[in-house]
Amino acid sequence: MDVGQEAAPGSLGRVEGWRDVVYGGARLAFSVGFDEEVRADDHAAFVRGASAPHFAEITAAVGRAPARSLLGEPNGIQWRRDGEDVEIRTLGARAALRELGHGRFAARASLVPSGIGVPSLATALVTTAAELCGGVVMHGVAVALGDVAHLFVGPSGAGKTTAANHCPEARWLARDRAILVPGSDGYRVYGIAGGDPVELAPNPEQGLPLAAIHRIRRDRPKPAAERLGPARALMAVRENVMSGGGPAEEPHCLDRVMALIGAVPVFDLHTRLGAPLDAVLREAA
Amino acid sequence: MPISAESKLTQGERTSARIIDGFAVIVVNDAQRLHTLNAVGTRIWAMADGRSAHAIATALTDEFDVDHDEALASVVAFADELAGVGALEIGEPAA
Repeated sequence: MDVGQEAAPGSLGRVEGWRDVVYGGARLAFSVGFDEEVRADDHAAFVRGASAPHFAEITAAVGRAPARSLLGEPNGIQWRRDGEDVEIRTLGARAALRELGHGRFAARASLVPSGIGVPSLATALVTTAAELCGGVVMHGVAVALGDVAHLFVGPSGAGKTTAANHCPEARWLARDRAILVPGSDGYRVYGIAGGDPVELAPNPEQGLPLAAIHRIRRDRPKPAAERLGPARALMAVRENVMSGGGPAEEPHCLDRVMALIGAVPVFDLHTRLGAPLDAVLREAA
Repeated sequence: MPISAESKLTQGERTSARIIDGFAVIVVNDAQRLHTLNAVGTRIWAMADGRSAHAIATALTDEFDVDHDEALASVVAFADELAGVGALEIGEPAA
């Protein structure tokens, strides 16, 4: 995937042969078996050079799928276990992902040449690998404040983006979807494509330690962070998890969420228009 | 199905639940809906292993300050609500 390099406006470049990038915190090495134009979209903002820190390495051999063969694929990501493989379906692409060892994966994939298949496949592979590594993929907005990250969660319209815009000292890490992966120093946050375009500040650090998760509230006169007990924290987090594994994987998903809330504090973050949140976030961290 | 004192209550097969800090959080897998239970609901849920509503109500009277009729009414209402969202299965009493 050539999205990390310069390309003509409206295009992210052509893919043929090997491409090696870090996207969403995972290193992806693609071998695309045909010449594919990749359209410009917001994936490029989240792609880093292959030397960036990463939690997993995925090697993918990608072949062309007949145009009609992937009609009806989900406009999202679905995966299920099938023996040693995890079968992944997403818009315009399918893949079989196999874990070779801790954090190392190989994939065989096919996609319909469409300009969106490569980025779509990249997101599907990275998010699925994150779940298989014990991580969670969350609908939320992440910002970096100092050396740590804060994640804002809540349903659409809750005020996540507004909250991020009320942190003048913060930098954007993720504007709609974030990958949280456990490591030796707690959980790290990585942004992936999705959501309304906003200007992403440069984030060469790629991923940051997660200091806290904040469920956005707008029901207090002054900004404040109120720590949630375990049951409410579990609810607040699970409601915003995007798991491609579906019902069959729900017990594992709950286990991953339990591990997350055991390691990272969860707050109700009461916000008020015009009132900066940086100090409240720092206190919560 | 109307729930009686002899109806057998069983946790739904396609649910995932964790009891955390004394409260049950239940996910109905197929619907991807979450439910949290209070302390009494959590105890009822924990005892829903095929026992009858009557048996669960009797156990509740030992643990909470409640008489049997009130406990049974609570169990039946709670079971009806959870069965309605797919979290609980109601079995016919043995003939």
